[in-house]
Amino acid sequence: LEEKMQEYLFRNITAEYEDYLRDESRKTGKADTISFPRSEKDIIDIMKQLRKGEKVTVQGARTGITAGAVPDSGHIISLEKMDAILALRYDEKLDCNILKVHPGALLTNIWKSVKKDCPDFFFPPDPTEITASIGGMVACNASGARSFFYGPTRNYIEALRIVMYDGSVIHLKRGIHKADGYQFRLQTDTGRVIKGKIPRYAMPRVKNASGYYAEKDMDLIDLFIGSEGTFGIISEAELRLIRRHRHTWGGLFFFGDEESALEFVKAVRRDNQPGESEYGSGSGLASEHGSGHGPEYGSGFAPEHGSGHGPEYGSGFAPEHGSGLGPEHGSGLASEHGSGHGSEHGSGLAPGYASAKIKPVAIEYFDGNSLDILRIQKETCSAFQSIPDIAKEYRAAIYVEFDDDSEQVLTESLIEASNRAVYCGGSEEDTWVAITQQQMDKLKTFRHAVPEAVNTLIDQRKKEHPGITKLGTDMAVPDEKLVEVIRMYKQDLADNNFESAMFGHIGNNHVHVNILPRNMEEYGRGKQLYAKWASKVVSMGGTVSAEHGIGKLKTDFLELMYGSDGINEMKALRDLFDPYRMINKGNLFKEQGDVL
Amino acid sequence: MNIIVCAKQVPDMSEAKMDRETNTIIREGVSSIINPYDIHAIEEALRLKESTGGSVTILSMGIPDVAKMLRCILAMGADRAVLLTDRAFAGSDTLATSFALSKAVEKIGNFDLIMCGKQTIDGDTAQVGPEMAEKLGIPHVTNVVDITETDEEFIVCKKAIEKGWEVVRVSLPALITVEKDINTPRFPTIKGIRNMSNSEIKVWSSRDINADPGRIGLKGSPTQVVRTFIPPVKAAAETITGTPEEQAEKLISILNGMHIHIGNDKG
Repeated sequence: LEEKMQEYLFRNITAEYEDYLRDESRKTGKADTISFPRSEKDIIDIMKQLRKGEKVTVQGARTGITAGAVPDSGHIISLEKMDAILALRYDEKLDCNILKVHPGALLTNIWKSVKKDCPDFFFPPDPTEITASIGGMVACNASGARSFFYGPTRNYIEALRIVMYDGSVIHLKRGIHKADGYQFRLQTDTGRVIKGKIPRYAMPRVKNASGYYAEKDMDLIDLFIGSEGTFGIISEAELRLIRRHRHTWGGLFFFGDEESALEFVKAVRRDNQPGESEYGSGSGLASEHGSGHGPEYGSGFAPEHGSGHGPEYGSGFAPEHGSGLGPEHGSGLASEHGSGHGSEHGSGLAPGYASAKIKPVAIEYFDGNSLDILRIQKETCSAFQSIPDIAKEYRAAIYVEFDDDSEQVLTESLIEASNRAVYCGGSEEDTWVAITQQQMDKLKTFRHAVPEAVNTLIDQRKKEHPGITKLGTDMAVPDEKLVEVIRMYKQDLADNNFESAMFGHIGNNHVHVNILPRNMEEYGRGKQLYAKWASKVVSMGGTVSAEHGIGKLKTDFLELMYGSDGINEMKALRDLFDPYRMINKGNLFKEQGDVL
Repeated sequence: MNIIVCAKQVPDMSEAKMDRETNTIIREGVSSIINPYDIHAIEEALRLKESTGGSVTILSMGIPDVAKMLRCILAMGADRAVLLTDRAFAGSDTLATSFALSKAVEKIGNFDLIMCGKQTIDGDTAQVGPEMAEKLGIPHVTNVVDITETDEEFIVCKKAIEKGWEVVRVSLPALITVEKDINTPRFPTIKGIRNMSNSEIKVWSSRDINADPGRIGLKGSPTQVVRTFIPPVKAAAETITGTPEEQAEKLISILNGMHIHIGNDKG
């Protein structure tokens, strides 16, 4: 029987399975065998078959770009056949729907299923790549443009089942399993007790996907979300679906220079932001942290979350529902608006400016070079011809998106955003507004065209210089460092005479800077610059990876961020769950014996 | 130039599926969009208005819900919108529809040009535009890809024909139907959405346009659909083998056989 199972589950890596040796990072690894489990039982059987210490790389849809799913030896568990959408239920306590899925379920299929069976609700995480698997999204806490308002995947995970190295299973439910201070205790279904300490490092107070989530009294499910698969294998997840707004409208605002665009970013997001003083005060990290869901989402807004949901969502408020703001929030806004002293924005605002509050769900940025790339794409590629011409005087664009049930509110929001844009030096006439699905789709084509064009350019250059890979950053800084960090990027790119494109989630001070090396010499210098930026960003209180994760490509940066002590705390934690260091070894930190 | 643009709300055919039993479109659960060709007519009308002055009026016939679509068009910069909505219009074929629309055009009055999309993506007949022109007794040009000259008395249009273009000078008032190639439609602007919230949409019934009840709706629709069917797909694949050069040779001879000429610059 065992032999039969072996045959059914384990296959040798042959040419047929070569695709499984790489992911979207375009890095290729090695492995001996691969399996395609169809159930949790299969995963357990596979883990029990493996020799203690044998390396296992777990794969979802391999859409990650940090080589997290690239094996360096041993066995591959591909979860792609375990893609069922299992059950939908209404949770009275949370007043929302919960969707139970297998880890290989693709985001696009989850959305389709929700649209069909539960059309008034939706699953907010949208990391652009809709063929990502939910297991992968949980493993790296995926986010995306709309996480500015809705927060990352973490905010929508209610329960996880995780298969450990020994085939035992931990079932985690949000609100049930919590750390006591910095101590925690978990028990697997076989009775194995895992006891240990939560790392004491301070997470950066920004959107973050670097290293283990760690804070006092934390919900232990958060330890697993974003752990890049280093504790165990997700075999099932329960997703929280929230009420959907009836309409989504967007506006693309153009600016003659990037400084004006940055002013607009500050102006358009100010109603979403809690006061800076909250973060500034030293008490912030320790005490606030307990009650906030990661700093960037302290302002966050899981509106339906409300009661019964544990403190991590407590600070969430429901702006669009008009119900009360959290106390800290109210005071933050008051001080900001009242005295106008916040470094974020100056005084002397246009009349009516402060009266209407707006709550964008996404704020995205395109620098002048990105617009130039689009202008060229439009001339050469028929797919982009549905996009109107961008007047040549514009050197930056900011996309702002709003969700609401009321067209009236959306109209007012866009008009108010435009007032702020004009105040910052933008133009009302040339703003592109999307109020129908057709127009939203067209704007989406525009927004996705830049990263696609960058990838195409890199692929072209790779042909001549095979060593070249994409040099795209994923760093975020605190709000008050926005202008400083963008200036630094611009200056360094100019000093190095690099071709580049900068775009992304500027609402979270999280832009992707893409260096486009023309030869290997530039590639080498680009890598150095990348490393320099990483240490600068860390010194600003930022993160080296805000959404892509660390994977196997940014392990040095993680150490830069948390120091060797922090890394050692993480390793110690990993060793508790996976003492033989079998599962996804090489992700997050490089250790002896790692090949990649 | 005062322009009336006809626009229709249609099911999003990229989402729609066919009912295999009845051979009709399954409309349930399919979202509604502006007929894609009509957006180009609207864009062209707005451009003409910007260069020559005048106004743009949008005219549509459909259920009351179409008002939403009309508001979106106002946001692109149109001046006003008229919606014909009445149970009496239900079941109209192209003849009855063009009659109702032409009556509405008469009521709007004072126009120089009527613009329509080449066809709708649900009916695909391309009949309503030309039929309206006939009823109104004005000339029409179909499949317009460019307007090269405008004057108070006439316009000059470039019209796509099977193997090239025709340039047509047509006296005003006239009706034209446009292809997608004519322009790249704009996004609505902030000014447009301000405009949208202030403008009113006129809603007219069959009485408001004095339509003879016998010429609208089912009564006014002589069209009888005898049969609808999904054409069988005849797909046959041929595999070409050999060295790359041999394969290329074979492919060229197949294409030549289909009268598709492969250019060879070396002559």
